[in-house]
Amino acid sequence: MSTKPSDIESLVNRRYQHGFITDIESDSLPPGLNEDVIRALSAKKSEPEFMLAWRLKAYRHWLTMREPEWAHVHYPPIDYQGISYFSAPKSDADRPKSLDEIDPKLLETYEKLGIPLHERARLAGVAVDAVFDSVSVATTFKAKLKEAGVIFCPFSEAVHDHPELVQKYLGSVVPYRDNFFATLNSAVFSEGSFVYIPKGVRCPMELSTYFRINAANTGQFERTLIIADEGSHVSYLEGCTAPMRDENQLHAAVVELVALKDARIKYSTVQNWYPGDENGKGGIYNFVTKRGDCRGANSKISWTQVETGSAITWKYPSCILRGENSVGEFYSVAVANNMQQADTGTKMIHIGRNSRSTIVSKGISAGRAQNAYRGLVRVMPQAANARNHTQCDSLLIGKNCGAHTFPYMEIRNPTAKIEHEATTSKISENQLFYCRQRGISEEDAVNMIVNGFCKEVFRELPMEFAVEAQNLLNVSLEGAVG
Amino acid sequence: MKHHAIRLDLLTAAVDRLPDNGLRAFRANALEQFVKAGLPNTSQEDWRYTNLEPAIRLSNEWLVSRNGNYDSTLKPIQKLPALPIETAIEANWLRFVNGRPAEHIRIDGDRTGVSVDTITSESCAAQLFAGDGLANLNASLLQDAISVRVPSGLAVRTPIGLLLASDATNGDKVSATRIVIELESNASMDVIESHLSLSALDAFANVVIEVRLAKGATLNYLRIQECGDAQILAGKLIASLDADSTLNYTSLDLGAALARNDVVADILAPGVEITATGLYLAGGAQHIDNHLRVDHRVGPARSQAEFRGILNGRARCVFNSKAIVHKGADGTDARQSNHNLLLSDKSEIDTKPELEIYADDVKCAHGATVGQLDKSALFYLKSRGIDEDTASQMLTRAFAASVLDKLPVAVAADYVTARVDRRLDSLIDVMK
Repeated sequence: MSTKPSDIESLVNRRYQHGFITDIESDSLPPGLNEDVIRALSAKKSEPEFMLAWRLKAYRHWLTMREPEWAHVHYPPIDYQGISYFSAPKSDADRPKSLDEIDPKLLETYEKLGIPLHERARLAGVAVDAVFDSVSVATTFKAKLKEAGVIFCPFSEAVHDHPELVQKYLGSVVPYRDNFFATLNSAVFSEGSFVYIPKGVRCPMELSTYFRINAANTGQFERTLIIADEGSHVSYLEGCTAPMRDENQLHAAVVELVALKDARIKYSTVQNWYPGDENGKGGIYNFVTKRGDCRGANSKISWTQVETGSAITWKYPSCILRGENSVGEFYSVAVANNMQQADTGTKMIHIGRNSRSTIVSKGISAGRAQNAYRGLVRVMPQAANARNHTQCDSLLIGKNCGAHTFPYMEIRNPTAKIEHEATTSKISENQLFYCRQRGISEEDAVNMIVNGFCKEVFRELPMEFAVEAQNLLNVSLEGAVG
Repeated sequence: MKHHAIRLDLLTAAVDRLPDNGLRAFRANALEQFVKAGLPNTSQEDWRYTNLEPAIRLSNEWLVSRNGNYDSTLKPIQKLPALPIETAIEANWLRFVNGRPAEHIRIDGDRTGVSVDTITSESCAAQLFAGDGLANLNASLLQDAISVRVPSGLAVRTPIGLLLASDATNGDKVSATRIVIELESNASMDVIESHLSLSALDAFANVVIEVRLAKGATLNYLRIQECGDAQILAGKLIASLDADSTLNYTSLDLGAALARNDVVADILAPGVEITATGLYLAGGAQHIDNHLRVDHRVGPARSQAEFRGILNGRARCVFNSKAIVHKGADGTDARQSNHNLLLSDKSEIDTKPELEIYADDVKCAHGATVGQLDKSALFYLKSRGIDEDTASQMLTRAFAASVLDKLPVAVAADYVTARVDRRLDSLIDVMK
């Protein structure tokens, strides 16, 4: 994204404008979207012919589509011609030189989250090499992964080095025609992660975008593809708990997971993009398509998400349970405060016999936020003995927020066993009184109760994430009580 | 997707030929709305599982056959033999065939205190509901709007029966029925709404019932739908509830090729209680869709919904309940549940219990299940010497019985139990 001012940018940059220069970078495409832009983008990345053809197919289909309106969110129309679809990573000269140039409010938040000093600089977008030598850490990891035969690289690298894998799996879970935002992503995605775990390999460490080289500028149209070959096992962490500086307002990412026979994928997300200010100004639109395909027998895909950021979240990590005995899981905590809007949930499509799924969703609304759970459980006629349990709870903090539940169940097999439960409540006076009586401040008491409410989900997070997620929740709900 | 539409030229011609009986302006307004929006289609959220295409096709067939001429439907049917439900349930029956009163409506007003009238004044007609595609179509084709009114403080002893029959033998494939039930403050009454088909021919009945409950009023309402295999029924009950009023509602779907039942309740003042229960038993290629919506505008108030379904054959059933708790409706208690038993490989249930909540001092919960008979319960019965067939029949009946236990109109219990049993027999029979 160029630093040329535009409406979208200026909104988002409002709080993070420190230290930016206004020169127009040469290595960016002008705002606008047409076939030439896509050709230019593909050429800049020197992509093989099949990628360009795929992008163009997606673009042509996108032109026939209408932006969806069914979600329980409201936002002004997006000008897709006002977005620049390619920008080279910012040069170091363009970045803040040191932490002194960063918005003090942001630093305060880092302090509260307990983020190490050297990481704060990186997160705030300070030129990395100057303060933090990530290369050494990353190189160690790379060697270890290589030894195991795991491929973990930026998408653009995978397109060159492993075109056969990309060609075989790209779009096989989220086809280019899937939905408005996924189709747009297919046409213009600029970067992302590619992971391939070979047969029988248990990935020696938890993979994280955090350690990926060149991960600093992930871009607004990110595409992730993870393939777990037969009998393999991988745990992938996306995002981080610290608020990320980002100059793009619209994020339309796509994540595709493929689990072959006996494979397991665990995908954890902590999302804390800029939510806009108290009055709903600015903030990221997070319109994401995430889907996993349990393609082989006994495969398992597990989604865990903690969503606290973004002005608008529109996200339904899903599982297609194609394989016999395959398992899908979805654990989610979604927090919406101030003017945030979240419409999030999951889809579990049961196709294979004896497929099982579990959904645990915890929604917390505060301020004037709107938080909706939207989920689908579909059991196809051939999915004998399919089993689903859904638990979906909402917690309301304050009089002006909203909590909504839209669960869809479409069942076409008589042997399926499907259960759905949902409750909505507020923090009770009794609970608060009990804590206050024991000398716990109101704010701490609320944090404690909220953390208890989310425990089932936090339990599913990798350990280092779980601790941070609790702190994050406390920070996100700051000012919601009292 | 291309959606078919009703032939507006023929519809307009038909509406023009209807008599000027006080409903003319109301019809014209509704037709204008209908011309703009038409009938809902499956791309609309509330209609994603139910396709009105057969109703549109039938309406067009009927419009073409009538060619804008509407006269033959104007004559109310004079002679209608007593139907089984009338002899079985002791009630003051108001009989309608194709939306028209089957004979001069008479209820001994002096004895019962209930007044039944045909709405003839334009000002009364202007207050009638026309707000969605089906209601607009109903309003456009409306020949008689009947009002049933209970004066303040009166507890009506004998239930009022609404016999709503369809008869397509004279080519009357499309009908519109409109009844307004008004209970003044602290009045109470039992109502039985019965849907029947008098011929095996296909027909499309479009029924709108408006309920207005004043302070402290209580309405017990039982809907029994036993339409024929070829019948399409679109029914809507739209209720507004004032302070401390109570609506006890039960719906039983036993027949029809395609039935859509909408219950819309609007809570306008505190102290309201709504209980809605329902049972749908579907087999063959039946399509039964129940949609509930409760608007909690103020609290405290309570709404509860429990619907159960048993599906066999290629039946497809839809359940959707929505509780909307508006801002400031503190003290709301809203509960919904839906339980389903699928007996065949080809049956399908689409269920969606929704909550939309904009207030924080609320208690809301919903639950839904789809499954088979409880294996351990089956085992328990078998271990006591009951064979598997009998045991599964017992459990299937028990599953349905929990709705029948809570019938809001007690005098109908025997009739309802017998009809539900008979329908269950035919469903379970197919299962074997």
